[in-house]
Order: sequence, then C-alpha cells, then structure tokens
Amino acid sequence: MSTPRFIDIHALQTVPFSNLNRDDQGAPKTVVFGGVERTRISSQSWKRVIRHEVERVLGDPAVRTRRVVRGVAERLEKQGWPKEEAEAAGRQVARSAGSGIKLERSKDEQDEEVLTTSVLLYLPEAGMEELTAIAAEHRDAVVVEEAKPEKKRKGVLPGAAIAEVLGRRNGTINLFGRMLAELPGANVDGAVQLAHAFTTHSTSVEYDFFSAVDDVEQELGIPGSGHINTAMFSAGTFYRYANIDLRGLDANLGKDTAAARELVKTFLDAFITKLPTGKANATAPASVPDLVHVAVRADRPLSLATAFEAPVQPAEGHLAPSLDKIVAYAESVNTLLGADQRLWSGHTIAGRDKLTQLGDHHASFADLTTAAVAAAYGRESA
Amino acid sequence: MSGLLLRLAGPLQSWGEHSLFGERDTLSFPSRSGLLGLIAAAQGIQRGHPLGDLHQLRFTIRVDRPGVRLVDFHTIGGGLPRARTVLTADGKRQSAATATIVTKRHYLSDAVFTVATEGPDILVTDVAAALRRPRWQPFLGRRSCPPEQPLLLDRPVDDPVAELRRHVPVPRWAPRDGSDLELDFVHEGDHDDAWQRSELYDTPTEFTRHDRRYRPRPVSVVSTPVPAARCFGRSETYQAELIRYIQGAAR
Repeated sequence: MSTPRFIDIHALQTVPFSNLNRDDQGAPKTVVFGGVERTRISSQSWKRVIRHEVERVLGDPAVRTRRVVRGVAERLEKQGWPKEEAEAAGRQVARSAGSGIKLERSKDEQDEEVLTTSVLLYLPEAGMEELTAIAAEHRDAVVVEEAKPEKKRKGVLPGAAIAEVLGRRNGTINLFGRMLAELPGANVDGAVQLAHAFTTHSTSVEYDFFSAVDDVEQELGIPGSGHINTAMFSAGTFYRYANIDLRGLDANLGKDTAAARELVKTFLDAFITKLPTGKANATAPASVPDLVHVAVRADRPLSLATAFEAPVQPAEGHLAPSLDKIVAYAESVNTLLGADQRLWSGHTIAGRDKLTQLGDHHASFADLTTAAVAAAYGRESA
Repeated sequence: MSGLLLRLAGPLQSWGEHSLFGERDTLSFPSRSGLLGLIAAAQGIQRGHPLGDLHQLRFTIRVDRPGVRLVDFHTIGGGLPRARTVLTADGKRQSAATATIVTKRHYLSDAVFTVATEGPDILVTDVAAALRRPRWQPFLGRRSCPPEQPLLLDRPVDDPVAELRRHVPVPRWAPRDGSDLELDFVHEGDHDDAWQRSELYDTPTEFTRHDRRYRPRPVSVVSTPVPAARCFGRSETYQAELIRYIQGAAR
C-alpha cells in the first residue's frame, strides 16, 4: 500500500457583501483568471487568522518580537531583582545569542529609550521564561560583565543554550515555517502551502456611498452631513485550497507523530472555520464553507482551481454550478493522474445531496477532519 | 538527448528576477532559476546543496498566454508599537501611521506557459519521476501559487521543441482567417530569428538562502507559428484536448 504523502483541503465558500482583504486603495483584492476579474483573498491574509486560531486552540502561542531584552528584564524584576540588574541580564541574553544578532537602541511608544534586537525573533512564548531562567542562573557573571565599560562588554551566558531556545519551534512554526537568517539552523521550511482564494465567477467591485450624520448639527436643524465617503465591497463564492506536506511536517517535528496528528487536525479545522477580519464588524461576513473536500494523496498535491478557469455563470446562484464544476473536474483530473493515487477522500456539504465523486460523506466538519487524520496517520491506538 | 514537456498554469505565478525587499518583480515568463528551483524541490535537493546535473537542462518556453500583470499590496507588521517598526534609511523610526512595511509583489495572473525541457536521457527520466511524486510541493515561483496539474505532460517525446511547434494544444482561439497563431518562444542563447534578445541574471549556482549568486544568460524571443488546428479557445474543450494529448491519442 502506498504511503500518504500530501493532504489536500478544498473549500467552496459563499461570502456575502464584504471586504475581507483590501489593497492600498481600500478595494477588495482581485485577480484575472480565465479572462475575467474575480475577487481574491490573499494567502497571507487567510494564513494569519489560521495561524492565530491554531495557536489559540493548542494553547501554544509564538511571539514575534525584537524586545527580548525588555521581556527578560520584566520577568526578572517580578522575581524581585533590582531594575538595573534585571536590565543587565536582559542585555546579556541578546549579547550571548550569537554574532548575527545585535543590540540596537530605539524609542518605544512612550518615546522612552529601549534596547531591541536587530532582528525580529520568532519563538514559542514559553521560550521567554527559559531565557529568563538561563540569565538568572548566571546572575553573578552578568553583574560583573555589565559593570564594565559598554564597549568592552561581551556575552557571558551560554550561547548554545540561548541559541537553542531562540531556534525552538512551536506548532505553527513547524506548520508554516520560519525565516531567521541570523541564527544558523533556525530556518524552518513550512509544511503547509496555502493558495490565494478567488471567486469561481466574475465579480466587480461595488461602490457603497455613505454619509455620517453629525448629531449636534442635526439637533440644531442644520442640513447636511458630517462626513461622506465611498467604501468598496464585493460578494461571491470562493474556491479555497491548501495542502500539507506530511513528510515535511514529520521532519520538522522530529517524527513526533502524536504532535503531527494534532497539528494537522487543528490546521484543517482552522482552515474551515476562520475568516479574515477585514471590515468584519461592518459586514458580519461570518459564513462557513458550503463544501469542504479533503483528499489524502500518495503522489503530489492537487489543486482544483482549474475547475473554475472558465468563470461560473449564475444559475440559481453561483454555488450550485460551482459544485457541478468541481465534481466534474475532480473526476477527470483524478482519472488522468491515476485514481489509486488518491488514497482517501471525503467531504462535508451543507444542505445538498452528497457528492459521491468526492469521497465519503461526513455529517460534520469535525467528523471529516477526524477521518482525514485517521486516513493519513492510521487510527489512533488506544 | 530527449525531453519533457512542462505546463505552468494557474491563477497566479511569479518569476522574480531582482526580487528583494519591497518591490518583488516578475519576469514575463518563467526564469531559469525558477524552473530549476521547481525541479530541484521536486527532487528533494536541499537548499545550499549543489544542483548537479540539473545545470545540463535546457528550457524552451512557449508563451501560450502571457497573462495579466497583478501587483499585490502586501503589508507586514501593521499595528506594532513604534519601537518595533522598521528603521528608515537614516536610522530613524517612522510615525505609527507610516510604519507598516509595505511590499508590492508582482504576479502574472491567468498566464499559461509550456516548457520544453531537454537533457541527457537519464536526467530527464529522473526529473519526470520527481515531478510525478515531488518531494516538496511544487509552486510557480512563489509558494502561494500552486500549479495546475498535471504539471508534467506525461508522455514520451523525442523532440519537445517540435512538439511545442506542432502538437501541444494551445488555450487560445486561432485567428479568424484560419491562419496559424503566432506565439512567442523563449529560447536560451542566441537565435537568428529573434525579435528580442536580452540577458537575464537568472542562472543560479545553488539555492542558498542568502548570498544567492546568478550568472547571466542570453535569451532570445522568437515569434513562431503554431497550427490553428491545435488552438482550443474554450476552456472545457482545451482541457479535454489536453488530456487526450497526454494520453497520446491526438497526433
């Protein structure tokens, strides 16, 4: 039997009048595909909300920060260290981190001077505690070194231990990767590939003229409005796609299969439920996918975007013809690539007939993602 | 020598030439570094490892559909306190209102390219196997751009450039008068009939993450007629013909 190599997740999702992801003009992002303009939601925008959701669910947040010095100093102050010593220890953490990472002076939001690292670090939040512990262990050495004139100060903390913490990964770093040039070995190639979402049909931007009332002027009977402007929106049925490289994730996790299962499941769930937040309060676009289709493949990841190269024409809306197109295309391309390469597939669909061509039907999104993980990794041993 | 046919299509692709920092450009056709990177990733060659025999591959690109340029407005780090924003050239901080890093990422949307890939038999066989079962996900110049499958038009071809001229279906309508459709072919090196010749810095020695180095390579663009009978404008007709072509039915 072939080994599962990739998991594909596809969704068709109808999003009402909204502007989830906008460009520098404030207009919904677009893409031309099949000769017509569609609304697009960029991969980076959707990935960000998925990342935060995965971190929230797993209780495993990562911090992206330049403020390691302050972070360590604050923790030590809470442990009762005097302020100067705590800050000295914070500086020492940055100094000992390796030659690529330097200390810089800058101003914080209150215009007070702070020391920051020259690069934006990205580490599991728990790592800050460990950096603090390393500094605390070497308190005497820290105090002696930081008492020297500034130019002569060197890092006295164990560099390897600090580099190890800074290079440590949490779940989302293993899933989505990390780019950190300054610390050898800290780069992580992401296991997830996430495509830009686009509508299956042509769209055009809707211009929403609005005015805001000046309440005081209105009471005084002065005609006119306080503010007028135009906002831009669109609506449509999106095709969304992502895949996971199972071997790559396995390598990132050091072959920890239990962690891999959990991450894959959490990622699939977050992919299904989360929406980017642009203008969310003004439009309440909180929809869920109409169709989710997951496939476990032995050969290569397979996007079904081509199903919509010819834009869908409305026929009782865009969703019904989109479903027809995705089913027809999935069938033909799977036949072409060899049906045996799709080791498992399943789908969940709202309010319509099951689509037998897209694998087993599952009543809920959670059932679908649980079954997908079982297909990729085998049933959980009790 | 034998060859392969690759088809690069999808909603978005991006083939950067000078891509660094804020303005991330794209060429109007796939770069040599992009194609080698795609193949190297499929073969599982790690970053920083030499590309070995892949340097022997020669690419001829048929521009089936040039696509439409799209500039994606992409922001990073919005909403951060002033001290965590990016420095200006003279070492100062920008105000909170302007501190977000703005990058512009150029893409080709709606583009389709067919690439004749030639090289020694053993190498070509290896590359084909890797593209059928890639080690890492293939992408069209940027990770957020998954390709349409099949990326590899999987059928034996002796002379892939001749296939491009005569047989591989084109996703375009033929001219109304029934004459051949002129398509741009991008050849490596010099070519007598070129209407455009340029030099691109897109030949990598290896893909280290930093300090990537590229050698220049001359490229010639030649306008070449392709039979009207191989043009299939309608999307479904084209896709069906493409499948027939891969399965070896259409000659």
